Amino acid sequence: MNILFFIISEGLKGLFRSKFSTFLTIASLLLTLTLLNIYFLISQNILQKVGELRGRITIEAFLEDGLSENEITKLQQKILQIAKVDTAVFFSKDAALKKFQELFTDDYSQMIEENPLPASFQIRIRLDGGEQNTAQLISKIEKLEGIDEVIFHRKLLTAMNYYSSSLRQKLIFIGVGLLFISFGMLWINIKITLNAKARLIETMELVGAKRSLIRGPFYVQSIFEGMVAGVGSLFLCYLLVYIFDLKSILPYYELFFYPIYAVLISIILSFFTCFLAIRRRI
Amino acid sequence: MKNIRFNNVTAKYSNGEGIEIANFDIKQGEFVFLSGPSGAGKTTILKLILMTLFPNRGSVEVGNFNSQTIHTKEIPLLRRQLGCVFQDFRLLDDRNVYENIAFVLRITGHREKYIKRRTFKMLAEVGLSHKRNQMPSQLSGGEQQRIAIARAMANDPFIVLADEPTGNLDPETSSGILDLFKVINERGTAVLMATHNRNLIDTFSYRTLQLQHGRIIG
Ligand SMILES: Nc1ncnc2c1ncn2[C@@H]1O[C@H](COP(=O)(O)OP(=O)(O)OP(=O)(O)O)[C@@H](O)[C@H]1O
Ligand SMILES: [Mg+2]
Repeated sequence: MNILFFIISEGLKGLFRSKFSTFLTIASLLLTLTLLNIYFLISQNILQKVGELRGRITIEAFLEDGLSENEITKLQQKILQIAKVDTAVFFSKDAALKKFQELFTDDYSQMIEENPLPASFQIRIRLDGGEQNTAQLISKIEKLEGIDEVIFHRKLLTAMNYYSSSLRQKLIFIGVGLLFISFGMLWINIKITLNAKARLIETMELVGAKRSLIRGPFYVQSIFEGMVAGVGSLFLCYLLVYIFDLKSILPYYELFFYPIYAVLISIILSFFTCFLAIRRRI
Repeated sequence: MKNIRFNNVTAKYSNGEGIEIANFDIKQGEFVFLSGPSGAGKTTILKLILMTLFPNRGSVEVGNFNSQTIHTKEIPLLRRQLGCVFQDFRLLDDRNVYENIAFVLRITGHREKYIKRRTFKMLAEVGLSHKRNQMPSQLSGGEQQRIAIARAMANDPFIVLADEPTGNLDPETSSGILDLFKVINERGTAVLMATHNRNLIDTFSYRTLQLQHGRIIG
């Protein structure tokens, strides 16, 4: 109990005994963590945006002419029963014509007696099943009675899928890179600190301090440094978001600031680096 | 009874220098000088006792510990039964005088109340109670060495190892430090002091182990 208390209080005192090294550690952690946070914020926004764009791809299922209202409702229900179909909005012949007229200012209704545009369902599906599933789903819709034709921008979806998965890979790659950089900076810091304290550590060993007792305070110190840097980087991020009004550029802002995780990552990073460096030394 | 015993100890550094076939005892309460020219192997003998160095042949017994059977985890326990004083003092320069002495008591898990009492007692014995809040760098060499001695004695060791404890001090300060060791020894703690200062050895007429080229010659 006394020993544990000693280790913790030594760790805390250590923060102030070697102020410069503490400052250096916290500063480098703060820097990389802020980068990491901002990076996370941006990448989540990008991924979210891409997801949204993909979600906008709809399937148009055109109906045969002359279906009764009852038949249309039944058809709609059948479509909605197919797995992965989210919504199926009915778009009547009149609505189609109206839209057409909006697009082309000339009034064709006088030229053509009958409305030639078919009614349709605007179908939204969940795009998490891969391309094959999507293709199956479309053929299922096509086979339904009363459906004339299904139009789907397959190439657009394929491109979108490819783009978003390669983007995801790149983002993960950058994130891991950033983690490594901060690991490296911390590693160099702790090495410098240990070098500066080599004689001190040796003396402690000579007067009978156990290794665990020499290491312990370093661990405690690293945890506190991680905590301070973690909280600090969050504040810095909030400040940056506020100053540069990033909220308007990065709308998925609340969602992707996980304060507890950010601090936890900082603590783990700091402790883990310290742990590895010290195990190799003492 | 806690003794130190060297049994046919040969300990070599990678370059072939070191100690050859050393045989000697230090009994409880003895005062022994370790003398010899520079490079003779005085510090090497002390390292063998502290077990920062292990013999290539033979064995070193320190109290209940034996260099051949000791486990790495036991080495700190061994060192807590020894006090050590160095030529360059080796105080912990990141904390004040009080904390330097308290450190060796803290690492053994004593209660704060005892630590305080004991630290103040040790400070009083070396006459530096008034300097307890100073940093080591704010003390003179002689004062630093007194603190080092107070630290060495805090855990009540059965022997104090001193490696040229007066090597960095002027003659007057040196004799003060030696008087301290004398008092420590008179209270029953053994002292093993490495020195190449003949004057010292002559004035005190304690038992002397004479070293030359890594061998004990008298
Ligand atoms: N770490 C080491 N590696 C290799 N050789 C060493 C090492 N330490 C000491 N030696 C050699 O071992 C021999 C004995 O050294 P030691 O330090 O015991 O001498 P000493 O009697 O204490 O000398 P001094 O009076 O100068 O302190 C010397 O020749 C020295 O060069
Ligand atoms: Mg020496």
